[in-house]
Amino acid sequence: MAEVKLSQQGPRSRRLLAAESELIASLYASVATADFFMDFMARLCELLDLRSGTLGISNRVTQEIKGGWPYRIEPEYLGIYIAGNLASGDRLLEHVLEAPPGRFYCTNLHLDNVDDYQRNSELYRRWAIPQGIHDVAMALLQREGEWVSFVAMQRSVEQGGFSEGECQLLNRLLPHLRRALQMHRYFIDTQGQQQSLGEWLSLIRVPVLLFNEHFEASDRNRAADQFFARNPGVSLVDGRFDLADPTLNSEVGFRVMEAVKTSIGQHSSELGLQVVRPLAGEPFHLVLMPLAGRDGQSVAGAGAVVFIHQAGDGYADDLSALATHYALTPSEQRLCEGLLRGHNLKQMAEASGRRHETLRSQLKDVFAKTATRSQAELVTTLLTHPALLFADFAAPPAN
Amino acid sequence: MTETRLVTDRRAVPPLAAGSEAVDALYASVGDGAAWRRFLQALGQRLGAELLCLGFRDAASGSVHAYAAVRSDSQFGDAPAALEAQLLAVAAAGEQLSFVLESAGVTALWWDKRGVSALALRASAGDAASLLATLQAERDFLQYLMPHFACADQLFSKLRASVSRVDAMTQVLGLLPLPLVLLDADDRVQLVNARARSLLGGAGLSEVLALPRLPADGHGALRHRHGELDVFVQPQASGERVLLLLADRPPALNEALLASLFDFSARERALCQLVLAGLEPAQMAERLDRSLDTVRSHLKSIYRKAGVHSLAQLAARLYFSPAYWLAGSAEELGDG
Repeated sequence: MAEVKLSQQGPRSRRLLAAESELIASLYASVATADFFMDFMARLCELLDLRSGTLGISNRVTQEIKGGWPYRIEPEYLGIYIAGNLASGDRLLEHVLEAPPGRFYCTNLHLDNVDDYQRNSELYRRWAIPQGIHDVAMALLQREGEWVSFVAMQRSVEQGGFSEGECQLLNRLLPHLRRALQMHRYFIDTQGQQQSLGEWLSLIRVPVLLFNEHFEASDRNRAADQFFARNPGVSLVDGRFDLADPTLNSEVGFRVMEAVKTSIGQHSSELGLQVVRPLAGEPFHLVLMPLAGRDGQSVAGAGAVVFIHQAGDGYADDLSALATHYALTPSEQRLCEGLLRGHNLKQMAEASGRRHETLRSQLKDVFAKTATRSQAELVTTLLTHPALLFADFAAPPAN
Repeated sequence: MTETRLVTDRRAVPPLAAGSEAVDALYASVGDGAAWRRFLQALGQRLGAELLCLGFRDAASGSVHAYAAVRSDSQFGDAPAALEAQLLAVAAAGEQLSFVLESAGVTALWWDKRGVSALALRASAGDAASLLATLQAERDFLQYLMPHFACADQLFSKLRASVSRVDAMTQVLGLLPLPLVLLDADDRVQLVNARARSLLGGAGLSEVLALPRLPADGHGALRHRHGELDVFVQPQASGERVLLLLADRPPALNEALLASLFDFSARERALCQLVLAGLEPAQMAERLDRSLDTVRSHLKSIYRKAGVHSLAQLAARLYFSPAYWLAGSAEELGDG
């Protein structure tokens, strides 16, 4: 085996290339961050000696602006641009919208009578000149109906106009900008979906946790929050179950890992539902279910769902949502609530000091109103009723 | 308006211009497993390597993963798995930059920087000088791509984590016994779970979707009549809506979980299936063709095991157990 040292080749072109390469990497690195585009724009400004830059999405017809990343453009001037409807007199923008797509165009290379435009147009008088902007390079990134996304870069008089070579560099960056913007939107959309789906997880009335491919709990529903609040001996630490006992923790962690590995096909045998009873004395079980397996290399879910079953979990909510729905009187509502908590008529009669017969006849009225015939049917009907599931939703989330 | 055609400035074309094409292809493949494999194949071809392997080490978690592409006529054939493991071990060892010529007829180029490793293998051929030149170009090329490998891999991980969560939630909501339809703020269907699909059929869904929107001040659940189905609509502040259909029959409870969580026997489980349907003991006896006494004795045993004292209480106990909420998955999952 021989170790070979190589000499450096073409240091200058390599430096330029490295700068462009870093620029592209910085763009993609910011795709999944909140201040998307800013780091890239800062680097680009340094590399090309730019004054400022903007990435924006606007409506051609209404001039409405949906999103934007202004770098070194003060909000005040964004306001002036929008309120003054200056886009309608933006000749470079018009040019960009009409010329072949996928290229940068700039004031000093692609507009005629540019001196007059830069002295007398409203855009320059009210917007560009006060900011010290002289030349602008601009490109269309995407057009979706009336919505266009574009990127613009500005230079001062001292910084000078754009050269052909610079335009070429910018043109090479353009596909990356377009793709990064699409990825960014995709990422934001998925995050929005995560939020809403996470909320709907609370339709499940038993504690549920989702574990991701790193074996960490990424989501849990409201019932799970309530479970952890009621059971101080069980908690989540760094997304993992903590049962205050190292042996139990590793046992439960191992089971979760097995379930997750099954979902990505890394487990030797196909595991279905697994029931784990972590503590002999404690009245709860974990039900682990691997998610449907996918190809490990595609963007899709690896993970497991964990349901917590606690023996003796009772029902303690009030039924006012259902009372409205079925037009139950307050005492009929209390009767139903008692049944859901597992009390029988006799117990309720004793507790409330009312006659057993009164409650019996009240129950008959409830049967009639809910179109049920037995206590069990009544309980099932009430529990599984959408109005009750939604009642929890309409309520503000528990603090 | 002036001429918009751009003239190519030959001097500005970098010597490794092909690198930018590779960078483009690399980022285009992020999030698409098939495209990523095509990219690796193409890169291996571009380098003239029979086998190309990339390994990634996450600095924060220390976890490592690798991908390999082999040319179909490669002598290395089944090597990728072993090489991946080797590369992972190398990647885990830390940052190094190395350039190795092996004598046994195989030339290996191995690079490791900032948590990314690349390994290219080829059969040694030709004289040492031309081989050296090839490897030099290859090294430059990989050097150019290295930061992008790392960046693309991180981006991929983030996107995958994000999409995985959505996927996981969709799967969980999809198998719920509640027949539900989720609509986004633009009324596009996000999810119709299996139970809703079976209740609605194909035509039913469009009818439900045509239901009038809730008034702006709509709060709580509204009820619409759709054929024999009640449809409840719950709006969110964000404009999303969930539609819940009221099913006339409860779902079949998950037998495996009934056995595992409550220790119910087969006969006891059969009785439990009738509890959520609201049957009285006499009706259960009739349905199961058993005597009322037998049903009562089974129920007594069920009550004891579940720690309840009435059918109503049992119904609630079953409802608040995974046996109900994983009802839809009973057939798909086996006994565990």
